[in-house]
Amino acid sequence: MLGDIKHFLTISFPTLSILFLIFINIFVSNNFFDFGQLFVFQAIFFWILYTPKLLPLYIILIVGVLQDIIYLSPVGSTALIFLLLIFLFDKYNKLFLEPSFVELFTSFIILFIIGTIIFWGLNSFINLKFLPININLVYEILLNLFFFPLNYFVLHIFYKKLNLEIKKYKKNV
Amino acid sequence: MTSFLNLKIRNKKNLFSNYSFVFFIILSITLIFFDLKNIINSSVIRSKIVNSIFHTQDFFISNLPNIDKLKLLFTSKEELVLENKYLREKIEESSLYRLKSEKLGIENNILKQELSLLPSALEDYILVKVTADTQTHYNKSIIINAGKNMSIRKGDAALTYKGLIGSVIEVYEKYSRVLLISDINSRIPVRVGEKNIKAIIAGNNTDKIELLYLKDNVVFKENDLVYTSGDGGYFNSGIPIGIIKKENNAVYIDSLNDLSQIQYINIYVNQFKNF
Repeated sequence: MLGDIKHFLTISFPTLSILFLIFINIFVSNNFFDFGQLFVFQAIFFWILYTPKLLPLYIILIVGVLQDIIYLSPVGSTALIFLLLIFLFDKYNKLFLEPSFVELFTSFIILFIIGTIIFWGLNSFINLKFLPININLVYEILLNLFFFPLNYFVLHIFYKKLNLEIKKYKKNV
Repeated sequence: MTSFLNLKIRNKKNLFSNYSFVFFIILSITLIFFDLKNIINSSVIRSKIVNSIFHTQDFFISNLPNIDKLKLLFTSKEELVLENKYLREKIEESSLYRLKSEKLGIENNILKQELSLLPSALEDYILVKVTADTQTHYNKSIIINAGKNMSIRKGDAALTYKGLIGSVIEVYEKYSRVLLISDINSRIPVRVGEKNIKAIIAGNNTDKIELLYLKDNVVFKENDLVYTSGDGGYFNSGIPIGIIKKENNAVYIDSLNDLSQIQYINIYVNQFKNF
């Protein structure tokens, strides 16, 4: 019984870590830094890269909807951005055999900027008005890019400690 | 560390099937459409989820170790005696102030009766704390720690001692959401300056709030005060909002409050009850 619970918690770790980042973003970081709504994409990017089987698309949809509910965005808008970015990443990822961290960081930068532009476009379309682009948006992007290596490093430690790679293959068997 | 820097991606197939991508993307677009057209009552779902999130937060906060209690374990007896003495003095002092204020209150009422003044209008404010600042580049709203439990209703004005900051747009069980005046969806009827010029102010997700529906050739003076007109029954009239600023021949309103740093606000729960 306890083993089952432990196994369930371990394979749910990617989802739990994303939910934790959502909490951090609302209750802690917003008092100091404004990461914006795409902050959790850092964790999604990591888990899609390492353990895509443990982060199915419906979880991405739920996470996106949860974010929209918290931030009062139209329900489904954040999920749409996440799904489009994962779709792009999925296509792009096949071009590289063994990407290094620098290459992955570069792809994250490109994806994050594309995501921010699409999000801006979608919100402008919904409001039927071009929303202003100011320096805060640039700060938001830079802040996310600055914190990405740190997030990546922390998640990588958990990935190794929890043997999620093994769990992933066990699940596939 | 080597594995951290040199990743080996074993699976080079598609991570997900194209059909599932298409399905979930269409589902997201459908949700957006339904939400925008109000086909689904998203406020009920929002209410349930926001309540659950904040209950979880309360649960974690209440279970955190209390550092003050731990500190007490290391406080010496002399310090406790001194603290006790200080607190007793403070209690005596405060009860003295309370007695004085009660006496002044009674005196004030007697004098009002003598002058045959009408009873003052009942103004009911609730002081609330901002629980979560959910402002992003695209939405300007905050969540406060009072809801249906404190008789807060949709449309109530949210203000500080400086002036209006927004209005309540969603009320949950113990929390509410306030839409700030800088949000792109915010529209408030106002009057401007000594000439009482009518206008509508509209947020645009920046600090510079716009003025709409002005008559031609209307001239504003810099630093003219903008305050609610009460038109349309949204807010009581006369609540200050901001001052007029000019920049490159464009006129905008500078809010009296710093909307990014709000911590405590008053909710005016008694609007229009005096009418």
